[in-house]
Formats: sequence, C-alpha cells, structure tokens
Amino acid sequence: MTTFDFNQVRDFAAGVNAELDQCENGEGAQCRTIDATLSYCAERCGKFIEEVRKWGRDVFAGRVAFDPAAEQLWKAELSQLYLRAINLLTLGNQAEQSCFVLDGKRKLESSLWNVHQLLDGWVTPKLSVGPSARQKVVFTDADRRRIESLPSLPADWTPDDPHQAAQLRRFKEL
Amino acid sequence: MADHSPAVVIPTQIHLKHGLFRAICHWPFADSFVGRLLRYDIPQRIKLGNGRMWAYLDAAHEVIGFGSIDVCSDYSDLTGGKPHPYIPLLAVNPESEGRGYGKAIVRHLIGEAALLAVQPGNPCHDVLFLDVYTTSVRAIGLYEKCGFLKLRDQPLFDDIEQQTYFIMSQRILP
Repeated sequence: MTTFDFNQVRDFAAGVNAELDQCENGEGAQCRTIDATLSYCAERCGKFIEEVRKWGRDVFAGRVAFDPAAEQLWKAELSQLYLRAINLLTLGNQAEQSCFVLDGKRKLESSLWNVHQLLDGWVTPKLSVGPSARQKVVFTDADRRRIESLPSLPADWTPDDPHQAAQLRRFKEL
Repeated sequence: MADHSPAVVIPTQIHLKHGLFRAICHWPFADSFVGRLLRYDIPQRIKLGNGRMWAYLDAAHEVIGFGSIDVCSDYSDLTGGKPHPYIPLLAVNPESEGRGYGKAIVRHLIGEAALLAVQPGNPCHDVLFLDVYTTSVRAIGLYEKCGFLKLRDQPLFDDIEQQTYFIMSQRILP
C-alpha cells in the first residue's frame, strides 16, 4: 500500500506556495491585475482542496495508509493558505470599493468558503466501514450486462416529493 | 400499511454540526454496524466526497429516520467509469419501525438520485447503488419492494466485516 506521506504533502504545499509567491510578485502573465491575482489564488485554493479530498478518499478506500503526520501537515498548510487568501481578499475588497466589480473576488470568496468547510469540523479519514469503497470486487461482463439491462422507471414516473418533482421538471426543461 | 401508499415523511437536509445529526448518532440501533457507518463513513462522504444527508420528520415533526446519498465511483466499473449515485446508509428510528417510513425514505432518496442524474452541467450515471448485508433480511425486502435488484444471486464476501452482502441497484430515470 502506498502512502501519501509527509514529504509528498510538504512538496505539494511548497509548490502551491511558490506559485502564489510568484503571482503576488507580479511574475507571469496570469497575475497582471488584482482581478487575475485573486482568480489565481482561488484556483490554487481549489487545487489544494481537491488534493486533500483525494487523499482522504484514498484513505477511505484503502488505497493509501493513513499517516497522522501527513494529516497534521495538510491541516497546517491549508490553514496557512486560508489566512493568505483572506489577506488577498482584503486587498480585493479595497480595490473593488475604489473601482469596479472584480470577478476574481467572487471566485476567491467561493474557494475560501470551501476551504473553511473543509477545515471547520475537520474529519480525520479512516478506512471505510461499508464495503463499497474498500472491497475490491472484480466485476464481470455479466455484471455489466445486468446493469445495462436494468429497466427504466415508468414513463410517467415522478418523485413523491413535490419539491423534487418541480425541480426535476425544471432540469428537464433546460 | 399498503405498499402503494407509503407513509409521508418530511425531509430536512442536515449537516454534521446539526443537532439532529448528533441526536441520531445516539439512537439505539440494533446493529452496531449502523452506528459505525453513521459516525465514520457518513462524515467522510460528506466532507471528502459529495455526500448529503437528510433527517425525516413525521407529521408531528418528530424525527423518524434519516437517509444519505453520495455521488461516488465505488462501482464505476459497472457504469463505464462514470460517477454514480450511491446510498451509504438509511435507517428508521428504532422506536418508529414498522410504520412504512423506510419505504418513504427510500423513495425520497430515489428522487434525489434522479435529480443528480439530470442536473445541468455534471449529471451522474442513472443507476443508483446500495449494499446490504445478507443478514438484513427486512432491508433486502424493502429495497426489492422499492425496485432494487441484486447484481448477483450469490452474495459477495466482505473481508473486514466477515459478512456476506449483496450489491443492489436500480435505474432511477424513466
């Protein structure tokens, strides 16, 4: 079993921090404006979140062993990133008040919300209790045919819940 | 209660910090497996995956059960690699069993899965999966009444829980 270990987390976080350093120093074409800088930071937050979630899902599925040192580093680095992004957002707020609406600010606010959701009430990953994620089942062509042959719901089917039914109609109209 | 007339439940989406979640964790489940799934798997599926959870209230606004759904890739070998809806866990309050609430909860979760399969932008596969241990005879009967079919007639073996289980599935769109 491979492990997303301390060194891999450290290297990943260092890479993201270096990218943000370059951006804030005005290096690279993608950070020429405050709006672009905010967007860049939002993207890096999203990338970080996805890596943390992927690591957690890998532990959940038994694809990697849980390493408490790696977890502590994920949390510490994510907290640092959160503070850094908050500071950048403050700059964005000041710029927006004095000039115009910044699309990047909206993106960063959304990313910050996601970072906050991950950090607040942090869930330590562990191997799944239920079998679906961790049990390595070798599916056969017969299994796949069985799934393909599952009957559809009746043509006039609609959810019992009126809110679901209304939303389903809206989605189908789109 | 007749099968075609499930009890009415009022779904309320809850998060991990919701008082209802903590209350549900203290229900006296006959099978300790349910409690472990609730305390360990559900938080991970919500925080690290795409999991959502509902508490279900009766007409007197008493909490009579809960249900959860995730969009994951646990059985994506059967869905052409596409993420699919999955029911990690649902349960009726042990004090409210035998009144048809289980069927109402399953039907609500099927409705949610249908929405996930038609949502604009990133719809998931239209086959909904769940796992059930072979010892849960009543649950298997409930799922079959709600339209789920066993993937195989012979159960699979869960190496860690040392129990046999069925993978069940159904198409959730007309």
